[in-house]
Amino acid sequence: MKPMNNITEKSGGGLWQETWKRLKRDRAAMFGLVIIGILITVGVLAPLFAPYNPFKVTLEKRLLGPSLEHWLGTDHFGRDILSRIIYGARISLEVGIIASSISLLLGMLFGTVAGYYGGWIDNVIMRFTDIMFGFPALLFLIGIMAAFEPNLTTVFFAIGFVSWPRMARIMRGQVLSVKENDYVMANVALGQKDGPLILRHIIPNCLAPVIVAFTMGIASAIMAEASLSFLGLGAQPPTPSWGSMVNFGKDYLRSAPWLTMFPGIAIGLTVLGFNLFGDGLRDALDPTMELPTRAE
Amino acid sequence: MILPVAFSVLVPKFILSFFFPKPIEQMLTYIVKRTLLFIPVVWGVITLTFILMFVVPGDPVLSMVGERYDEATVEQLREDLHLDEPMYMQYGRFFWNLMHGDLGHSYITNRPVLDTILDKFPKTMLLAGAAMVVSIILGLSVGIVSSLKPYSWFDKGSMVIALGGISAPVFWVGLMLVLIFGIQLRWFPSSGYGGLAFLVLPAITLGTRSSAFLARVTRATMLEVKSKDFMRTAKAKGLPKWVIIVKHQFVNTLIPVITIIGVDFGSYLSGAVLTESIFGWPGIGRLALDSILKRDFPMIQGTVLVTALVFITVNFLVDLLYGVIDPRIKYE
Repeated sequence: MKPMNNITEKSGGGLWQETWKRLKRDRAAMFGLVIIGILITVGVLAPLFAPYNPFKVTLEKRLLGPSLEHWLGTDHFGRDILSRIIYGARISLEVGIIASSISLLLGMLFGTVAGYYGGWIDNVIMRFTDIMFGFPALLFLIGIMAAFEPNLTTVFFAIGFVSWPRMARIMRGQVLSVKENDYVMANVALGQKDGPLILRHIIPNCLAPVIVAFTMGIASAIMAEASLSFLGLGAQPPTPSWGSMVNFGKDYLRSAPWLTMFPGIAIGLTVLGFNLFGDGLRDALDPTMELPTRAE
Repeated sequence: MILPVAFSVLVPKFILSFFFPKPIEQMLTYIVKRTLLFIPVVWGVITLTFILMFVVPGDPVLSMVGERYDEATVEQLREDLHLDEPMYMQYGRFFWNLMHGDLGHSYITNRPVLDTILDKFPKTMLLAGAAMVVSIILGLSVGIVSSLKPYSWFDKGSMVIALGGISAPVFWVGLMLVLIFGIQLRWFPSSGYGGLAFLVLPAITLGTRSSAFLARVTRATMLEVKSKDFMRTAKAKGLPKWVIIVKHQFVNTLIPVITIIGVDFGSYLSGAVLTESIFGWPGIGRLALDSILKRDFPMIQGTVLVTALVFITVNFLVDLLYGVIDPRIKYE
């Protein structure tokens, strides 16, 4: 039997259209979206926006204050800070999206399995997430980074690995409620196999809160990378990661505070953008939905 | 997995039912059940910490002896540290020693890990406690005042600042405070450990994020409670305004507020690493970081483990506290 798609299509917009309508009216969320938009544009087209080469060392121009020539000044190697921040946007975006995707995939996989099958497998997975929650996030990350070579690839995986339990819990809760629906029962009765049933009917109906968590997850991943790089355990020089820029800038706090100030503002604005958008998305999707309200 | 959980609920319930009236029995059952769930998590945290250090690539012995070494010394050292044993033996030894309060010796200083941690931990607790005070005073007062006149200028302004406080990186806030109050105004020392003056900037740094968050949650919950029926009743009874606000509105915001304060304890422990490294505060966060940079594995293991144990214990206590604050909470 062919599903009658045309009926749902005509009856006044699905969940996502409704959400977008509500989201458009939320000024804070739109402000967040604008920040994210600017970040993506600047990050992707970094070579077009950056006035200077972010890696070029010019020692005679070191530690210059903000001026018309160098809007945000230069660092201790005479590199243009604005250019480095623009290139740094790429790194933050990469970390945010890759680490958050890893956490999304792992979380959805384990959350779905736990919620759908229940029983001992659910118990094992959930007790494991309990244990993972037992570690303060940054300390756990530091421990992992200590065990492996500190570089950006390790950072992606470490953050993804530390943050999936949150995602798994949300997913599990969703699956538990979705699987009670009649359409799932109907599919089971029709002899639908688990795999297709989960992929076609369960997961699509669990996505709303997961997407909100994903947005918030990007913010916390960016913050985590910045913290690790600040401690010297993340991106290594000369990578223009915002966190490591603050780290190297702090030695010149007295004489050249702009080294520290501007990359920090970039981190804050980016995190703010994702948080505002995530908040708005949550309210627009379902005002009564219970969800984590911030990035760790 | 199911059996022990089932037992953990049923057996204590059965035993306790002989001694206590129903409400207290329910509460005690909850406490026992929660305690029994707490134990496997403790075990898991211990085991995961062990595994984390076991999978570390590279030989810790080689990093101890440095560039020039002879095979005999390395073998001897490996034997002394029991690193030649199979994994399960090492795990058993690790667990056994741990139960006896022995976390091993530092590879660098050869001092017992536990001694060093016991030395540093109170300093971190002092910092975290001060941060908590900052966060409660600032967060609660701003949140309450904002909620009394929603959408006023004070409310709008403080909520924008709170958003900024949530999004700004801890380490950056710390450095900016040093820049303004330490370097420019010279009000407080910019780093070090000592009297009360040394505590001010680190405590504000560590408390900023959670006061911002607390302010938002307090405001939101206060407004939510405001629309409840009992608030209208209280007003109708002609109670003075402050009695309504304190006894009816504020008291009912306590559950989410205490949750936040408890959950934030973890972020204090995480934030302590950043804050302590900025301010040169000799606590456990900086100890963890230092030992990682020196690849001092027993010390890393010890700090991660102790911090995690403190963290889950606090969460456990917060869970128990709910029952005291709100007797309506069902323990089932």
